[in-house]
Amino acid sequence: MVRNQFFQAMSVDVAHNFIEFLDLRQRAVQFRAIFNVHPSKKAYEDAVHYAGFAPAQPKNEGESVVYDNLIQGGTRRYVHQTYGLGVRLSYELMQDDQTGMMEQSPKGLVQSHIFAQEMTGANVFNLGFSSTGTLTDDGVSLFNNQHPLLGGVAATNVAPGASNFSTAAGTYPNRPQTDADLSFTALQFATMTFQRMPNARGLMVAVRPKQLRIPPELEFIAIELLGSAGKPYTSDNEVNAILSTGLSYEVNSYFTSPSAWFLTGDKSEHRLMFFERQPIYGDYDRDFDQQSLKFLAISRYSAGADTWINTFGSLGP
Amino acid sequence: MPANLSTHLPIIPVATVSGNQEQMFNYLEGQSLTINTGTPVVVSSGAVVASTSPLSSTNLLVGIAALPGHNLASAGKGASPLFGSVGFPGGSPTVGSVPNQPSAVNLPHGAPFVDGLMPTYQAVEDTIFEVQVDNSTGASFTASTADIGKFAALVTDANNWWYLDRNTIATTPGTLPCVILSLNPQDLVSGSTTTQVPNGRVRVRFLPQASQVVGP
Repeated sequence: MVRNQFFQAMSVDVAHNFIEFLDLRQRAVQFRAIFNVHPSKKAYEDAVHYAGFAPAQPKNEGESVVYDNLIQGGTRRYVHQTYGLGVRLSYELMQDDQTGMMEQSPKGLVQSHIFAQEMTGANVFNLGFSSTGTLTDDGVSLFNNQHPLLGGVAATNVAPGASNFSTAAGTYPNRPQTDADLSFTALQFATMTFQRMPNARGLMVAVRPKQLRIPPELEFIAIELLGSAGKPYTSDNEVNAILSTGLSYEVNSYFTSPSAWFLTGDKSEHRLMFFERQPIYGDYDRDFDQQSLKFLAISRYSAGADTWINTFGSLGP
Repeated sequence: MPANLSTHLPIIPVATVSGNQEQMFNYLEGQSLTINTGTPVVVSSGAVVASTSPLSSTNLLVGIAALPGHNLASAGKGASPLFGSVGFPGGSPTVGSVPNQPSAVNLPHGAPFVDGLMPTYQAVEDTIFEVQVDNSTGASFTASTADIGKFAALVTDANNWWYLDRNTIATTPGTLPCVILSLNPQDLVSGSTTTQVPNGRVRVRFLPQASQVVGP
């Protein structure tokens, strides 16, 4: 950048400069509240899924016990992506800038990096419905109405109530068969689907939705659904059963769809992962001949989901 | 008569005129690409594929591939979308199968990661590449200082490695893709300052007329 691009910044007579990256408040970081954030020291991180045993079987008199095997599932690899951005300032621009804006421009670079991190995290959800987007270790999209279970048909045969939600033996959904808008009924269905989630062999595990994750467009509906004392949108004076589920909502400004909504369980129970290979790091140098000053910020990370368990998503209508 | 060697060294960048790192760009890798490292590649339908031999002002290159092809199922498979992650499974090769999950894969740990991209040393005038010399007619395949400043074509051998074809050497560029700048001094005959051993390495620069980066 050179002085003539910023000739106003050379003036001492300006009453006030509105400098976006200094004067606008930034949103609080959101992805760290959603993802299990881990440091990484490798080029990539691999995650492998293993299933446990099937339910115990009856052993009749004189018969031998039945033996079972653990099952090795698929691998999910997280290859870290580097993000970088820099700015070059001429010697004369640095000297003549009256606003102090130029020497603080690295703050703007950091904001750009925070945005990229947030979008990378949000895109795990945004791209989670696509077969070419976010895939889990079972090889299908993160939000899918037929996640194949490692235990196969036997798993859904023994999982209590799985057939109430599963539309194909050996699979279990974390997405409605037909995507539904956020509503009391849709949320009720999602909660029930969530509570019936079996593990890969059909055993029950402690899964429960904790957070309703929504774009800003759905905030008013979420307030009504989760805040009404009575059942929303009826005149029958029923209690609002959602209140007793302990579900809370969180608006994510980086979700792209105005109608997609998501449920996630406790962070310690889902496997939404964010690997931080290099936290945001700043550097600067001066060109000897030109005396120009160069700032850059660089970061490196990856995000995704090992497995779909403890998540639910609907793409809206 | 075929070339003297059936396999040649990969083409590599060895220096730049500016002294900076050679210019690189990660292009989407084309579908089913099984090229060797150091192969001239060209952008076709948005992804790089092997250039057609011989390189010329018609058979262009965008640069030299830094990696072998990964035989991707589709062009750019696995490439990260904007602010997205490298696509599943992110590595190759995969082994065996996963029970009841036909789309899942076992990825041996240590398998190279695959991100759908082909890092490419761009064929710009700043970058100097090194390539082995041979002759497609089986005739003279020994370079000497007399070759410096002359123009030549690059062609493939029996195993799809590329070499500089001394049979094409000319004093004017015509449709030829590169100019010989110098000889690799390590390949000089012992005691000589002018003549290389057979199949030595020479340093070349690609001409704009053969390059997609700066070409026509």
